[in-house]
Amino acid sequence: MRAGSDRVILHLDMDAFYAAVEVRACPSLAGRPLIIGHPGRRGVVSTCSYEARTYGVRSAMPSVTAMRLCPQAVWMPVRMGLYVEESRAIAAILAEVTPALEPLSIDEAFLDLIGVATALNDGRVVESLADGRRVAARLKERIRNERQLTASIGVAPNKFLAKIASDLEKPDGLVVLPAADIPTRLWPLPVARLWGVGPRTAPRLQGAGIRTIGDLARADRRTLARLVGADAAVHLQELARGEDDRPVEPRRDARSVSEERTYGDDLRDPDAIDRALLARAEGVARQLRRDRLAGRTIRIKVRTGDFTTWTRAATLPAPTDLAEVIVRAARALLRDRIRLGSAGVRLLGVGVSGLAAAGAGQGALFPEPGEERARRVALAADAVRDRLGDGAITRARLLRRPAGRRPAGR
Amino acid sequence: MDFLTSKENLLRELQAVQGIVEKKSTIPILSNILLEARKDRLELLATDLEVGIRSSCEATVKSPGSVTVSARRLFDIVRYLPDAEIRLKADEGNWVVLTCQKARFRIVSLPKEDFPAIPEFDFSKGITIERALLLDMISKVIFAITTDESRYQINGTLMTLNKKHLTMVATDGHRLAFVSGRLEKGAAEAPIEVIVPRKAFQELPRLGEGESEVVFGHKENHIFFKVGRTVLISQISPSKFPDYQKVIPEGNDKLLKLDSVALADVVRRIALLSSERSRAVKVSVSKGSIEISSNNPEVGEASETLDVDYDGPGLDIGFNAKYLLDFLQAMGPGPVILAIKDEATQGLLRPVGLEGRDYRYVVMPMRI
Repeated sequence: MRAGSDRVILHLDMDAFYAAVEVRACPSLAGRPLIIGHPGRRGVVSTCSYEARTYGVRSAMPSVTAMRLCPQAVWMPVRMGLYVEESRAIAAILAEVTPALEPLSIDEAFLDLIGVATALNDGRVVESLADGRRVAARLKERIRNERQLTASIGVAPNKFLAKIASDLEKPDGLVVLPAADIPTRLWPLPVARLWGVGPRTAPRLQGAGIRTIGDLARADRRTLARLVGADAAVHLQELARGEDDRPVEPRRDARSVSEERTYGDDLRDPDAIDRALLARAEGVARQLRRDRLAGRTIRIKVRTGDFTTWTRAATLPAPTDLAEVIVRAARALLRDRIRLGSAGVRLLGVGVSGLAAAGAGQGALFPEPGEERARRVALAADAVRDRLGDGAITRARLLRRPAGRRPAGR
Repeated sequence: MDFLTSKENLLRELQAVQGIVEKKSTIPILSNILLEARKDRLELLATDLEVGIRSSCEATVKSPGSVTVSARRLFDIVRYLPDAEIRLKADEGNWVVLTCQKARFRIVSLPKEDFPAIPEFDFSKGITIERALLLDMISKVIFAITTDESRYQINGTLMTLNKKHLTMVATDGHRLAFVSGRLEKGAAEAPIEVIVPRKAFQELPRLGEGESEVVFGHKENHIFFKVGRTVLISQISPSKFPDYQKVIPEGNDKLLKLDSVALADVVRRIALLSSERSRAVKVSVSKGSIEISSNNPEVGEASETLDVDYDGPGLDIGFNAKYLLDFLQAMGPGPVILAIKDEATQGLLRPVGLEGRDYRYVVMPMRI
């Protein structure tokens, strides 16, 4: 690990990402206040365009508030599949620069540029923040040309400063923030901009007269420790001085996908256990399809009320990304390889490992008609969930039934 | 029930049924064998409900009757007995007493009324099949049966008999083995098409060593194979086997004639560095040679070429090494033709000059 001052870290943040993707798909929306989210009574704003932000609309705001602030806004549903696809395309551009790439979310990533030789730096090795600026400018240009989207980029000696920098001149910003600029550019910012200062800590600090990051940097350590605790005090002051030595951590490829849940009341009814198994299989299958993966080894984990834990696994002849196939294997494991006896289920998990890119591997001579149908249904359901949210569609078997009532037959 | 028979007789018959009896059955009676003493014979029956065996040996019957006892336990006892006459006699309650010279065993039994009924067949109406032909054909397809028990449509061998024409097909959904042959003596008057469970064809070769003929019968949901004194009875699967003729490729125009032993040797070597999970090897065809290669990012890579008389366009195609080896082993030494079309179409392997058999093997490629 190099010393903090030697590094060139780039933080890229797409501008109003969902809204920008929607505007690109429908150019007549350009320049108008656009809100992505559900305009219903209980809906919330997922994100919005800069035009909507000028009216005070913000992410996670209740839709009714947003409608009051900006009644003329155009509302669009969330189309997650579209954004995920765009996110992948941008990640591919970034990956050409360096494999030291840490995606933070669908529209943000850190890159560690030090020692990287890239065409964006005329093939030379990046050695300084000035090189970092050149790479950032050309990266923005590529994203504008190839994806018709704008990004804001911060370049700094560490992750914290890079993230602060990318936000300073948003949208379409490019800010290089060397340590020397900390007093002029970082310290005037409100303390709430620091990672770790949330809605509970901020008022406490402000009450003690600590309003800006600069106030915090200069604050007495012991006073600060009384306000936020000793450990947090050290950490916050380091950040306030622009010190942060966390490395950029490329996300390793997923080795398994799993989902588990703990139940407040132990599950005893075999039908309830089976439905729980199906729900977990469904969740795992959806994650697999979202990441374009398929897996061969199906694992279940069961913990009973007395904290006995079982994990059992089985390997399928071919990789799958379908809940039907996963739950079939999971049911067999639960039935044949676990002796629950009279114990209730406290925790139930389903996981899939042995992952490979979906569609790779061994071809089939006789595509199974049941699986083909299940795949078409799953893809259609995915599309609905991408647009309307995960709760928008589910299996009849997973619908909650009124207690004591059972449908006759299935 | 009370009878006497030799250790040799009893051991031979008990051994033959061990493969049928369920070792860990949830239905206790299925772990048992039914012994029926009548006239001058002892009849033995074992079943797992899908496949059953009915066999018999000579015995001196003092009083006829029947009992059921654990097949495994009786087999173990008889194995360790001295080479002498064995007497088995039903005792009070559910007990059976076995004596041999000075040894005495009292074994628990289960009521014979609980033993499942096993259908019978009148073999005067059976079809005679040469045992060598039947066993050879089974060995050419049985390895391809799926091990995924939930895929019941293909969880067995499709056997068809039309006049003197016998065919067998087995698949696991990724590769398919097809073989046909001709009966010498027997013939089917009406065409027969049945799916034979894996277990039936696993056990059949072990029965009737030294016999030259098998008599085959089909009645309702059961099929029967009589080899010497022993009869194997099997349910047939009610499912519909997939339309296999559709997947045997016709238009594979790139023909590569190779020696099966040389090809198997190369594939076995190169597969050492293929990914353990996929076992994929790449076959790269070019003028005059094919290259078999593998690579595994965590281990390394390997390649080897084989000369071949080929003048067509180049092609890369991936196969599961195990699928290739299974077939090359089953066909035995000799020339083989690998016929391929493109990297997505199933490949066809076929031995050249195999007397009296049409043997074909279809393998779906791997995307690599």
